[in-house]
Amino acid sequence: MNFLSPALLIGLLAAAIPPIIHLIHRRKAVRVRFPALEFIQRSNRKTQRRYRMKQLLLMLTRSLLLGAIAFAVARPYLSRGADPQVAAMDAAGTTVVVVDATYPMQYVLDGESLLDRARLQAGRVLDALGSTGRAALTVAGERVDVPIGEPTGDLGAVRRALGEVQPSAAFGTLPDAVARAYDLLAEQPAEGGRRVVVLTTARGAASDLPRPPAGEGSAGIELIPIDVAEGKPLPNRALLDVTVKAAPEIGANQWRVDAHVANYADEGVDRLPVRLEVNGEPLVRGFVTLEPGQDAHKAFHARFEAREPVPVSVVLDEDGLAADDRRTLWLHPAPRVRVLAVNGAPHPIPYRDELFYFERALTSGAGAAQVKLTFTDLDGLEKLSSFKDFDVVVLANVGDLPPERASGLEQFVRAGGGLFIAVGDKVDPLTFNARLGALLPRSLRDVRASGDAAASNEAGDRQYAHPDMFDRAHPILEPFPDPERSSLGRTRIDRYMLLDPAPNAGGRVAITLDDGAPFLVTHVVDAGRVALLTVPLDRDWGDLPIRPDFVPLMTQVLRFLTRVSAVDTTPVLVGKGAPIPAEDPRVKRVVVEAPSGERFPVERPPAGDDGPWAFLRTGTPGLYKVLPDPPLPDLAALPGFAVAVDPAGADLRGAAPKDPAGEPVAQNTAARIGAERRTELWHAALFALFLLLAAEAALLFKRHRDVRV
Amino acid sequence: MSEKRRQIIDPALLARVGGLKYRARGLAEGILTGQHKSPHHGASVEFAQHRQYEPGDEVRHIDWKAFAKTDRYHVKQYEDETNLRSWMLLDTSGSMDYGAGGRPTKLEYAGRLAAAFAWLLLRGGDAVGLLTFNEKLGRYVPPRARPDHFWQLARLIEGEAVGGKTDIVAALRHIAEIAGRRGVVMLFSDCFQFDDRLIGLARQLRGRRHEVVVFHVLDPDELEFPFEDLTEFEDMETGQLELADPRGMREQYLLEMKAFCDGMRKRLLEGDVRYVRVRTDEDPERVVLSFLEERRA
Repeated sequence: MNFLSPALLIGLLAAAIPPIIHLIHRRKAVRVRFPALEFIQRSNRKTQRRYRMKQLLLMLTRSLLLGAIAFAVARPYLSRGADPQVAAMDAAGTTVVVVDATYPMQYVLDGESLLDRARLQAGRVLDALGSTGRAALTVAGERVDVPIGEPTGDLGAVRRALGEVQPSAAFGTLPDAVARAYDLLAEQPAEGGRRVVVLTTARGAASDLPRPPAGEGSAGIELIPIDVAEGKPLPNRALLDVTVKAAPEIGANQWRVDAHVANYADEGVDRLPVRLEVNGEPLVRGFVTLEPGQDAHKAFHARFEAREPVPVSVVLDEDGLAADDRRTLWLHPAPRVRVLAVNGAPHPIPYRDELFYFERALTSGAGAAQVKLTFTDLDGLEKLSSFKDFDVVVLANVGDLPPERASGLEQFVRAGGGLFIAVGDKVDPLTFNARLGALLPRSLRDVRASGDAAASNEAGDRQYAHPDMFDRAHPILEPFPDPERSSLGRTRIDRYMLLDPAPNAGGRVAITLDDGAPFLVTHVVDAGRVALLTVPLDRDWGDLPIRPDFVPLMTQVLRFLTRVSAVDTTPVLVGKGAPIPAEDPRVKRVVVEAPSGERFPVERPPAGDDGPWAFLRTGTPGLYKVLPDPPLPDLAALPGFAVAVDPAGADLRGAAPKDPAGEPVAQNTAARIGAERRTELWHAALFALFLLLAAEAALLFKRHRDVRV
Repeated sequence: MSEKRRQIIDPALLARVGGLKYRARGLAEGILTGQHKSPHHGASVEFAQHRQYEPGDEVRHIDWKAFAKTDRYHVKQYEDETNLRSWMLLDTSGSMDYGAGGRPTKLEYAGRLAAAFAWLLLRGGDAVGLLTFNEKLGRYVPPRARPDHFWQLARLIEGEAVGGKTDIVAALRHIAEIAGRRGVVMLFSDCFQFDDRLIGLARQLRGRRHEVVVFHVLDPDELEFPFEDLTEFEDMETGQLELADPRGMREQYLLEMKAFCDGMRKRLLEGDVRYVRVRTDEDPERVVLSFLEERRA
């Protein structure tokens, strides 16, 4: 008799628990003074013998019950070969067993994981080796482990090592494990044969496993891949990817979560439930219908008013392989942008004020929670000592900027600040170019009326210009999937500021008017960014402020200028290094908290080291927190990261194992290993357990006679 | 032997039972006419006290002088007027000291019952005596009918030491020797030493026209045996130890106890002895009332 998990036999010690409890209770007998002792003595004489026997039987039953549980979970089985002697002769020599412990092997088939099946079949391989065979063991997990590196005749040691193989969430290490097996065999004598037995899925067996090396020392090495599922289909539905993005075009605090779902099965699935969880609580539930082998994207839109990073998960209903049915990411709320808006043309009538629409857009629409607005005018600007308390400065129709303020603004931008310039009738191009020329993407030239263009266009009768060309790759236009058909494209402009059409003009034009004039231009100045809008923020030169897309446009401009989209939420694959954000030079060391709660300190690499600062112990999928160590008063935590399983392992469909030459695995090999039948005994153990439970119930059953004195 | 003063006087209980009357079942052999029918009539010698007139009293015994002074009817009572003599036999052996769960001990409860009956009888002008006993005879107070006699009885019960084994037969034999006339004999005990000699003595008393009542006082623990864990039981009279698992023998214990109680009841009833089983968690007043109700029926 063999055991699939012999280590669990330690549970047999639990059989000692009932006698121990009995002894403890016996010692705890209390003394009671009682008048009717004679009756107790008489009753004792009549019942004690029977009662003691019953208690003894009960204790024995309970001990056996606990022992049966331990026996059952150790997975006993009887191994029977068709002809053990022949099998032993065939399998003599040196065998390296390669067990695939990557996450696809966690697939549960008929109530048993593929890894358990692999252990069982590896045990069968060892049985077939007989007394003359020698074996080694390599395991493909998060990395390649070699529990038994030197082939040994002590097969018991190999079995014990097999029992200790743990499943891993990694994927892709099987080829390396096979290559390692070849290395081990190369040093072994060729007598009796040398073979590498790979226990994996059909997909793993059909993948590009390395062929035996062609060197002289490696001649005759045989590769025997075995499908532990024995050809049974392994239908699997998987989450391949999940992305989270802000969706200001929908509204304030709106986010879009995209899930990429695949159906790796021979049958389609109708209305597969997909749910979005925030902080572990289900928030939205949707369905996706998939044909066999098809993949699809499912988008969720949800509103989160988070100030701190929030765990967001997309979850599929659990199937055979649970590891790829959930993906979790950090949702990093955009930081609050501190904006100083300088009003160059204030007006007592609110809607005629230069910043009326701008303020409404940022305080009542999308991004309201992410923006802290401070308003001032030219007088206030002169009194301002510095711009260090702001992330972005908005110059709205500011005509005569004092020279010292312009110089301060330039320093602010070069140091990493954002500057948003919206022109207007107060802006004199010559003066503006003189003061802020170093920051402008292109020099201002003159105000042009759209009617001028119409007059010069003999065929046309237009009076307004419209935004026409959009740089879709520009981050500002990210939330506009189809800008030409959006309200931006229908904006009517009757005047705008012409920019210098120099051939080597700087900046990047995000939006161009239909007459070719730039409408929105951005520019990078050292560490800072500048955006220039060639119309004002009020309705004097057009109707941009009353277009619905004005709100997301302004939000995106501010996000662009403050680089708030810098946090990368793409999950790291299990086993790969996760980069640690290292912008803040004060952070020399961090503590990474794994999903299990375990904490790992990570030191910043020394100055001369070119390697990235990364965390390498990403063996568990889930969310990791990154905390500065020691904590900084103004920086409680750095952006965390997510670790996910490699979606490449989700597709378990595959043909029957073939040898490296492309032929199906030899029949004699299959006969040698596969023909052996195992008789699992855990069912019998469970049956015995039920019998023992029934016996215990019978012993505990007491016909209740209602004796009343 | 433990000797401590126990609280047996319950004023509320006494107030409630004081208004009741104890009527002898047969002819009580008294001196004066009163509430009990008596084979003797007339003889009265020594004035004892006044008592408030109650319907049934002879009109000729009304003290008209007292009526003139107080405007209330009183009858004169004489020392020897009582038509009913009663003896309370109180078991003070060690087993009577059991009481658990905040309940009174069996002796305290028996003392309260005896006191209640004594009060009831004395209020009716009857004579009450008391004998305490364990394996030996204890204190004996002969029957008297004076109202202040109650306090003498109460003090004795309250101060009586508890301990030792039980010998009910000796106590009954003593009473049989001294109680020559018809009367009432009340035995308060857990009766664990019940045997045929007791029945014989009880019959002997019945033959002499005494009314014999056995109050079988038991604690609920003795009747329900609520113990769960492995327990070492110690006998309260002998100190003997017995280890037992109550869960395994509760049913048998209850059967034994039931057989004992039923057997004793049957034997006593056959001897025309009244048997009253009392639990110490019962209201003593209810016990007295149901006893009197039963007697009337």
